[in-house]
Amino acid sequence: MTAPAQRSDELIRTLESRAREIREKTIRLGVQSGSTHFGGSLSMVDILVVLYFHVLRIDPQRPQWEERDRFILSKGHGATSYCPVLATAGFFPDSKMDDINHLGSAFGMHIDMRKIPGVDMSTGSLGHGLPIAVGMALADRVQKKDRRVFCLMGDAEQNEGSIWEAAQAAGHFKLGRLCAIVDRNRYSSEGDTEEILAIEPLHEKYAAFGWQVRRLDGHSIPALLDAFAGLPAADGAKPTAIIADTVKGKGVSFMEAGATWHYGALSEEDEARALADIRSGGTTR
Amino acid sequence: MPYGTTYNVDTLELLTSYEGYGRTLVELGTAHPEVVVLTADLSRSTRATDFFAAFPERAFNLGIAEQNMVGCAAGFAASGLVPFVINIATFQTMRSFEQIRSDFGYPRLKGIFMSIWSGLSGGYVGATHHAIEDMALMRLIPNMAVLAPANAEDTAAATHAAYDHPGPVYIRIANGMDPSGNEGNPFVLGTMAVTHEGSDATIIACGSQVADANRAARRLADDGLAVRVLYCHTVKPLDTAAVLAAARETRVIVTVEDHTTIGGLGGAVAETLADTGAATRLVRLGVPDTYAPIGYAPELYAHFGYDADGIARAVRQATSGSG
Repeated sequence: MTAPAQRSDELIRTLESRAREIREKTIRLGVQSGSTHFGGSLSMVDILVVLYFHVLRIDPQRPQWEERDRFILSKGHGATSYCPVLATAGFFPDSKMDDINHLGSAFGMHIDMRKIPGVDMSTGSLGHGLPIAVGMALADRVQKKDRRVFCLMGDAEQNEGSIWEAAQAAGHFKLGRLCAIVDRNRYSSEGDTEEILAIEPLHEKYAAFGWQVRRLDGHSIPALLDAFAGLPAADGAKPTAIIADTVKGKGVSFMEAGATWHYGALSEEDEARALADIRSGGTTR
Repeated sequence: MPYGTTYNVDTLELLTSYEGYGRTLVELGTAHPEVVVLTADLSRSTRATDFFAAFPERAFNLGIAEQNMVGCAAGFAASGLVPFVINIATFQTMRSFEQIRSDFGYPRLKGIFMSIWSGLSGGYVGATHHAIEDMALMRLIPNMAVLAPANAEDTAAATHAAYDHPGPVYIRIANGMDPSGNEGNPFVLGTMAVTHEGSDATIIACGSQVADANRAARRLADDGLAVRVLYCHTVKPLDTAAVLAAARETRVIVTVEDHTTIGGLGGAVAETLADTGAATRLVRLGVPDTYAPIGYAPELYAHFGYDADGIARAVRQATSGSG
């Protein structure tokens, strides 16, 4: 086991510092965008950081490297933190995002695999990611590759039927190298997922579909490192679902308050408060 | 289910279009290790069984879950494989429309969507299984090519052409076993083939309606009307030059398709004429804006007036000025 090395204090500190850096860049890019999905972009930062700066087998110099692990952002509206992660990982310079949302830019509200280096699949419409990830995992089998496939989904997205079609298929085909992560930030655009169309008990649902399931604190770098270190599952015959409990707007106190901050614009004053919150690392949780 | 005169073509004698592409899939699978086949519990109905038997490790029955199937196909395509997705036309184009549009069309991933029971070819299967909108829907998707071959030989040729095409391709498979009139000529994606010469009127037909268009043209010749028949196996990208030449050189254009008259072949021809200001009389034959009744396919074609008799009648009316 490589667990001790996985969890060295230095690694944890480095990743936590990366997460702060990404949150700052998310705020800046969001402000540059005018308005964006701040809440769901911030809630998934720690998951992305652990994946892109420690777990994924990738080479930013060769974005199309055939042997790379695959990552699909099913919640494509999380582009405001995902694109800065790709830039910081070295797929392209930060400055490439300067023209975001303007005519002809590679960057908009959602992500385009033909325009943004490092993006493995264009996404935006909810419920599309997991079926594609299942196909990629099956492709690994056809091509006899040992790539892993990761798919990060939103929680309210679990309302989509196509996700459960894919969950059935992943269990049936015993896709042990597939890992789905649910960013369980509890709120969709219009409110609490459990009040709109309940998705719980999520753990039991994925387990019933033949998945190995872990539920963890999606802002705990050590917990995320542990969970990803255990992949693929010991017998390799079950896909893994990680239900990551997160806070919408994580890192920014006024977004965390009430956790209902889904989409919007920041005033100059709000931007300064948000950046100060992130730098201080002190939030309500 | 198959109807029409039996027909010999070199290696595909007496084959239905289903069997024609079933064999072709095995040929492609043999030549290209990246070919994979996906079905939604329809490998037997769609004659994909030969591929399943030959290449079990590359054949996937994904159950009755079409959205997941097309998403999976996109995952295959993004990994460098070439997926052939085989389904009944209604479910293929409607249940998983958004996956085809956003997961294949938008990223321009290569995938071939092959659909059986196109148009009213399923006959008594009824309106839930009649695919009268499939070409219109697939035409809407940027980067998508839409093919409507006439018979087994051309379904096989279309399958090869689709493999060689860089983007996603939709192939609607009809029941026709009759000659198209284009035998011996190469199947060139994006072109129309002249299968009957004439300058009084033009019939533009796709799928198995080509055979009936040719029959109608022969009957009209007996009446002294010289009718050009254009076999339009590629509804998108449309051979607009052939349409405009017909508009210049003949007085009337009649389109024939086993499909709603909205948005398919007739729609594409109408758009082309309107865009260029061509003032040729246009008659669109096909299913009017309605759901079809129960019946055997040839009965339904006669009911809606696009069997050989109906086509001949429409041409006579339009050329006599009373249409």
